[in-house]
Amino acid sequence: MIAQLIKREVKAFIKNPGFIIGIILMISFYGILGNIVGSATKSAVEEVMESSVGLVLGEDTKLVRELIKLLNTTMGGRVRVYSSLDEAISETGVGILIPAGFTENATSLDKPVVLGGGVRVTTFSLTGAQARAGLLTTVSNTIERLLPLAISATYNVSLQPQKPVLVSGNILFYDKKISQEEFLAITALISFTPLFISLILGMNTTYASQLVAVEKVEKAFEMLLAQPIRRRDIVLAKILGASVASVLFGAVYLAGMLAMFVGTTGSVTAPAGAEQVSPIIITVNLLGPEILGLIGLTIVIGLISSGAIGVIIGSIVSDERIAGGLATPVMFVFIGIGFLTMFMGLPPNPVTAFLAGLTIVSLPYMYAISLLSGETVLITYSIIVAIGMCSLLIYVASTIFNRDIVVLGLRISWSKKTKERL
Amino acid sequence: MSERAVVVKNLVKVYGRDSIGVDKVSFIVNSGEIYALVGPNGSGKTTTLRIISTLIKPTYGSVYVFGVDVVREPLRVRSMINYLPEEAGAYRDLTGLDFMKFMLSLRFSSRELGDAIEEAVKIADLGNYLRKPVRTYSKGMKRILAVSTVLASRPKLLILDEPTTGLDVERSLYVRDMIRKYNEHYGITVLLSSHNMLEVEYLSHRVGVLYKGRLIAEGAPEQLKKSLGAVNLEEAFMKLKMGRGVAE
Repeated sequence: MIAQLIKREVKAFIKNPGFIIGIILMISFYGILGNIVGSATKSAVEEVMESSVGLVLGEDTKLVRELIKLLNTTMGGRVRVYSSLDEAISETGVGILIPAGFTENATSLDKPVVLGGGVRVTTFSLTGAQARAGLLTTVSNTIERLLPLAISATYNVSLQPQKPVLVSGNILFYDKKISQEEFLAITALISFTPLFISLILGMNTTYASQLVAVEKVEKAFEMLLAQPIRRRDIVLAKILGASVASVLFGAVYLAGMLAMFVGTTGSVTAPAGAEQVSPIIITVNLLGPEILGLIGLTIVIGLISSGAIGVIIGSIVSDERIAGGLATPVMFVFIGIGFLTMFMGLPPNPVTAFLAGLTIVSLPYMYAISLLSGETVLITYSIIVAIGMCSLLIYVASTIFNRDIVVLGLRISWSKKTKERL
Repeated sequence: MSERAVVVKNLVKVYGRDSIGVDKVSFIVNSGEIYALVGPNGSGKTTTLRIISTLIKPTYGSVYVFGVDVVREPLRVRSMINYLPEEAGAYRDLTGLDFMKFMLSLRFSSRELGDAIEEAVKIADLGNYLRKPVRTYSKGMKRILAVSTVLASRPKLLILDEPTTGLDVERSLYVRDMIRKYNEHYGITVLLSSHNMLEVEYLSHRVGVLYKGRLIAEGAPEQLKKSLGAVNLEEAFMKLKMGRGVAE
């Protein structure tokens, strides 16, 4: 008996076209997504592994020369010496300053060894940015390991116990010099924003599709369509109705996210006695208050677009079961785009500007990189594409609402063989 | 000559490769009359009514409502008609009264809206139930709610798909009386479809018989019965169907 019941339930799912299309969509999209993220991560790591290190010498002692020799051997001959930190960062991407007094500090037991440094980062991609920022730590760790060997070789003494080597430096984020903490706050906020927006938009697609599909199930739909109102107005009402629900959901979600964000990355830990600064304020200070307006604009364009997608789904299905089956993968596609932006980053060029506009969720990200790279025309381009995309989706939704499909539903005729198999 | 409320000419609706909804159907509904489309399931009644109501578009042919083309000017057509679909329901989260208010607010405003709501409440006669959510309603109550809403809108043309489906005998009689009353008192033209031949005989001035998407006979109920030598419309329909079968 139970086997029959389970068979019936499974059949109901398998026969649901939304479920089948959803699975195909998810496999295709996330398969592509995995490949893109994988290759991006690989190239980011390779780039870092192969990049040179620029050294600046604050003193020229026997120990320092021995240390450079060892470091160069360890790093496969990728160490270069420059006269200033700015030049080192500009030429190699990462610069380490061995300060005056280094030898004295390294050979005395009670003095800390602190290096200066800086790294150039020109991406918001979490993978790329953190790999680059991590270069400073990687180099200082290598120096920490090599220092006892250099001391032994220089002074012909037995091996010294390992001494911690710290690195204190700034990050040249595009052309702005910021601290590592500021860098962490900005990259995290700008990377997480598309993910947050994508979740809201995904929910909105589901809400909008349900608004139409449930109305069909309630059998009030045809009565509504026969009233003297424009179909376009019904479409807009549904989009706006779903958007209100999504904004409420988003507000609650944002409050939760902010609580988590402050708790995890925290307010930037300032030196003792200094005031703690919120990551949002740091971001606004760096990118200007316009970033908040841009996030708002993205949410508005995104809600209208995702609502239109939801209405399109609701229009072509006959009930909320199929609508749910189709809207859920669309939601995951939105979230996937958010993840893609977060992990991969987008270099500032017309192609990525077009893609950011097309996917909408990456607009704040594109704003940040176009502003920092000085190519502000790119964000204008993205916004135009996003508005165009939004208008196109509204047009498609309104057009479908004027077609028979909205009343009759999508008719997929299975072949006789497939029918029998199911 | 009376004004023509509906003119259907060579109407064809094809759904798919092997599915024809209606096939070269032509008929005229005169202003002020009650015209009934009868026929078995799948004969094309609902398809025809949906096309006239601007819900779906014809594959071929033309349909005019009071001289207005349903394909070219659907909004103008909708302002003259109201449509009660088969199995019409209402929003489950609304109360019956709120449903009436919502639907009628799409046609009326201010005082007219108030009068229309009052009229719908009177027709529905659901008492305190009108203040309860529609999800608590029986099938019959939902039907009467929908019927009262479309009647109270007093359109020039009322299109009713199986108006008494799901209603008990008492409520069916009541709805029929209301349809007749609105036709006689307010001059509303009524185009309806029904399986119930008794209902059709009682209500309609003229009948169109649809079978497998084609209009196979048309005329006043008495005239049809007489020409076919039948005692009632059911018998007339069976004779027509059999004759059609032989002819095919």
